[in-house]
Amino acid sequence: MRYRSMLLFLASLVLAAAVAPAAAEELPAGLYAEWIGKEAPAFRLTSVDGKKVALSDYRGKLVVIHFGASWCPFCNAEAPHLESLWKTYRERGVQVLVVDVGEPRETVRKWAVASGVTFPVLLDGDGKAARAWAPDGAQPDLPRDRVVIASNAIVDRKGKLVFFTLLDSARFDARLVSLTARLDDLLKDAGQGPSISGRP
Amino acid sequence: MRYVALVALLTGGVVSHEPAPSLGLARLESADVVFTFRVADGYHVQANPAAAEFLVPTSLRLRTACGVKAGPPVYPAPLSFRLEGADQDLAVWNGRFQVAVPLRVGRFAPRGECLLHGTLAYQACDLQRCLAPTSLEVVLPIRIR
Repeated sequence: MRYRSMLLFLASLVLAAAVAPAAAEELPAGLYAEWIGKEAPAFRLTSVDGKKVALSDYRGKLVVIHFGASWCPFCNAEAPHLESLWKTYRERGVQVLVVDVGEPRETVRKWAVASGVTFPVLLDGDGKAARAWAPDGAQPDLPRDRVVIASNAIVDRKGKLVFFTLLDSARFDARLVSLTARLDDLLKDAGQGPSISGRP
Repeated sequence: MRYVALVALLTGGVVSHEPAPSLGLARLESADVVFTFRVADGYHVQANPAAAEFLVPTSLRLRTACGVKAGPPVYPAPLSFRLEGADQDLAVWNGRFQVAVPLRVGRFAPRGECLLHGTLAYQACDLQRCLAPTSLEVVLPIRIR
């Protein structure tokens, strides 16, 4: 009996060692798990081309949101990959938005042109939307509208957060590998299958 | 002749500097003053020039005062910093870095003590966040002979 228990214990150790690293690797860098499943904070902002855009306008779509600023190196590194993602997924019910925090329209417009992004870039000049998206307790020493700079989210068709990461530059994911994988899962769940052209 | 401005921590800032000891210069004399800055542990700032158009290069600007003019700063070589998955390296500085600024005292500069003020503009990131662009005031005391 004791011998059998010992074998079971050793087997469980081997199993745990095999599974634990894989499970850890699956967690997206900077994942803010506490917010997953919550209602995404609403916003209504003006785009660089002057259109009023509310998050609720995209109800029924999967919305990828990136909070950024033109001066943010991480945001700049992600921009071409966001554009690539937009081109790959736009016909499949996915909307990409960038919310630029705390910058004047002309600066953001120049950034959007230079970056070649074709999805809506929204102006959160006073940082109100960014503050609403800053989880309580996350990076408490930062001004609240700066907490979400370089973060990414996916809002599902009903307005719930299904992916939300804050910046983790030690495991920075400029190519949006984790976000794209989550997007593929969500599209697969909806019967739309994985991306035909592959992940961007 | 090069003078070295030493460094001290400035409470609350990611980048700090120590005011230089008083510098003595004669009318029409030129000198390079070297400002030494320190970036707080774990942070880096964008180098000058920065790696991309919209990034904020660290830049030191000294304002002309008392007939003393500052020339274009000379910045150190950058370190390469590659963000995971990014298409190009960032050019950054971390730890301690120095910026040399050529000074020239004018023919009619008033003799006596003078304070040369300047600003170091920078944008810093650490492993968890990027801070908004900000600046640090620097002061260089000069005694004009």
